[in-house]
Amino acid sequence: MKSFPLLVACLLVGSAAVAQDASYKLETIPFPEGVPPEVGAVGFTPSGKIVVALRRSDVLIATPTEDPKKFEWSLFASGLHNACGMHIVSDKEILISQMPELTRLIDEDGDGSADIYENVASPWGMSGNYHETNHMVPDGKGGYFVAVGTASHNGPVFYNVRGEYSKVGRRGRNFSAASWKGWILHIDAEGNMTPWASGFRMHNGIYLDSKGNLWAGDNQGDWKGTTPFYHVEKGNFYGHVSSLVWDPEWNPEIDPLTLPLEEINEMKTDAAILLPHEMNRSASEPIEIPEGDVFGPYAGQILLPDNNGERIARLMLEKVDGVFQGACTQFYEAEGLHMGNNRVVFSPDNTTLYVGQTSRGWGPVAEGLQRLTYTGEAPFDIHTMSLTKTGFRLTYTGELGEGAEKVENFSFRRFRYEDTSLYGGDPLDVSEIKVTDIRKVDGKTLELDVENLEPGGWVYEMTMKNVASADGRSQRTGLFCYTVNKLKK
Amino acid sequence: MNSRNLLFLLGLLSLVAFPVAGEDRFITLSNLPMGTREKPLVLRTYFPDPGLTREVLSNHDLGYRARKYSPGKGDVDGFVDPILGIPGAIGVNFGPDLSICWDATECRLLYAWRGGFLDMTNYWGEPESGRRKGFGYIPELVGELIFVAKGSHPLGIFDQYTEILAPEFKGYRVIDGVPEFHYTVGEADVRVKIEPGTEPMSIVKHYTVKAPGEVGYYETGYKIKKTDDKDGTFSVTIQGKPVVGMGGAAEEQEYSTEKPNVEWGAALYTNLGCLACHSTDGTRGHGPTFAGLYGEEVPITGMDEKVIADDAYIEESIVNPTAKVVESYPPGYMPPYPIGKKEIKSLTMFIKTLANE
Repeated sequence: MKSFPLLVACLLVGSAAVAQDASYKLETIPFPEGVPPEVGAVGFTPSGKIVVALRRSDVLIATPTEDPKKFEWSLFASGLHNACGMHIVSDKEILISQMPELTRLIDEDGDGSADIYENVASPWGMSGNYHETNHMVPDGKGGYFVAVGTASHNGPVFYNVRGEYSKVGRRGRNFSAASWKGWILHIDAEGNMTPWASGFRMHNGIYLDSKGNLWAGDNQGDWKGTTPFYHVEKGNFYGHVSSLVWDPEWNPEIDPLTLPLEEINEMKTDAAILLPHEMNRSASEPIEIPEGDVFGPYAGQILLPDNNGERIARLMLEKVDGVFQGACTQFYEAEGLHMGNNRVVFSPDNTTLYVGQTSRGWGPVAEGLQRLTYTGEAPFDIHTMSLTKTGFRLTYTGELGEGAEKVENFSFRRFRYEDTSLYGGDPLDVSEIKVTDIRKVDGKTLELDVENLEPGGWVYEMTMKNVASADGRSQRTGLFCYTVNKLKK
Repeated sequence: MNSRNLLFLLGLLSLVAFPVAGEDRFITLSNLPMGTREKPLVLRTYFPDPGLTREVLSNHDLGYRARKYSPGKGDVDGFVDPILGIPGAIGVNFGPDLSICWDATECRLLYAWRGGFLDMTNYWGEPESGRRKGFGYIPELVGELIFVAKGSHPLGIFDQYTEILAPEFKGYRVIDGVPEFHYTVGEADVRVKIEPGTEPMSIVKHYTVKAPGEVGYYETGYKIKKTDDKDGTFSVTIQGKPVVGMGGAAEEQEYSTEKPNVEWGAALYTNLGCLACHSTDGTRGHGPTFAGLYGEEVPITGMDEKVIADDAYIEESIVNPTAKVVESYPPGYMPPYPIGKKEIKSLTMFIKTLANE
């Protein structure tokens, strides 16, 4: 059976799998024996220590070593309930979002473990449902955005509920029976809460990028036909209807599940990028690739790990007619990467991406801590796929080889998704899209004209063949999907 | 050996079978985590609810039975009932002598037990497969309940035993391994550290209260010793005792099932989950209280005449709850309990013990 791994490798070609290359080194970092590696959050302290919050309660800390097996973990804090968000202020102060609250951990006496567990804010409720985990990002002004997940029909509610209970919000596959489930809340530096945006199912990953844009992914399921990636703005509704019951403006007599689909679609803000199931099935923490080329050629782009796949997607965003949209492809897939990719952080020198994994209680067990280090050898791939008035511009990371600019090298399909009360969704209205022209703009850039370029959330899926670099390397990934919300004017 | 006694033993075994490693005691893959008197274990998680009354959980909202829902069809036949659990509490284990469940919503000690701490398997799942228990994923108490809170908040401030409504949890500070909980209520600022006392089953609460008025303490149903208040600092020692009929090991005491009896009825009241809706202390729950029910006249929805709550009425209400629904309670809330005649009689006898004299 020696040929078996080769066979598997062959089957992966042509899917979204990345070709094996020498650009990123993957290593697995063990925890002390017996410690359940269910990584709810990861971060770095100003002095360069890595901090890992485990969902069973412990917050561990270690100084990274070159040898991934030599981390010496010690306990910074313990006793937290499903900690899934973290912000490190200093070596002595760490904020954690756990099931019931946003908690500030302070190591007052400087002995390396927290003495104070301060309740910063706990404006959301708890129905008692296991699915209601939270993620959190600092707002850069001393406050926080907290993503409050909904409950699952695979679990119950309690007779005695923390916060308010809504009978109407209790209906649905994933539901919002307790206060503010399915929302992003803003908590200012004084602990005051402002409801920010609604319509989320399981936004297990929110992120504030270097330009101040707030982003959130979500998990495909009810009201999410496929995995969306949202540009989050105050006051917007993003499609999962149960959360509406907590909108102070909402008429409590109206069950949002009974609204006509057209009305929901009218109210809803579209995703900037729709990721087909081949790209991601459960978006977790997004992260922007730092400036410079210390982590490869994609500085400024956003990586989106998959909690339900052995992969991390790469997002190419642009603003078209005032609205964010763009393309996605695979950044790293399989090749030893675990499932359950949940939280990510760059090392202080930006050369290494630490990936924490967990999916216990949500799906099959997949857990651990891994790291990807850039080797300095740039991959050959499409750096950016962007929209033109007549099609797409593909900018490569390196010089294109001979003959890349052939119409027959590129195939397009387009499809759309519908968000309904049913779980997930297949691509709808799938059609082949003809490439009508192709031009080589410069040594690294191609422009393609396509038929039927239309706005309104169509996903244009592109595959390619016979494209190689001038030095003979094949393209790292084979599948790109661009979500066209608006056309270029 | 019944399952609860087995868990009790497992709790003791965990001290041997899952020794804590090194200086740092990480929460390990053991689903039976325990601390010691010197290094207590703090764990925030879902907690079992041994049948606490609405008066104790007055700052919680009520969850309700919901119609089963199908994403494709909407509401379908059948119901999904809530389960018993405490959502926002903090547990502390001091080894086999004492475990406490202190709630950050009510800001009070809800219950205490001895023998073990929690069996987390329902929630954390089996170590290898990760399989969590479906709808009943609440961790289980290991050991024997020795204190269960009753009545309103034990602390009274402002010269009266005023009810502590809407306390605000501020967090806790770990002092020599023991958390000192901090909350405010109105203008009062309260810190309380809870530890095992010197007597078996005793619990000591060390208070530091800054309040504009005098501070009083009253614990319903337990003997207490309170030290003098020195500038807002005082201690209260609660003498716990095995709690019968509330999910502790003590409930497993032998009772005969040969013929109907009160003890059997009390066990059924817990085991069948009657306690989730029907209180025994007069507080209003999802269903009418059992306190003072037997022999009284009950107003029924849709009937002009009141009905006397006698054996026949109680038997009918157990087997066919929709036949007579007490006014102001939702119809169809209680499922029928098709239990045997001896069980029904035992429950009725138990309810009778709660009648007004």
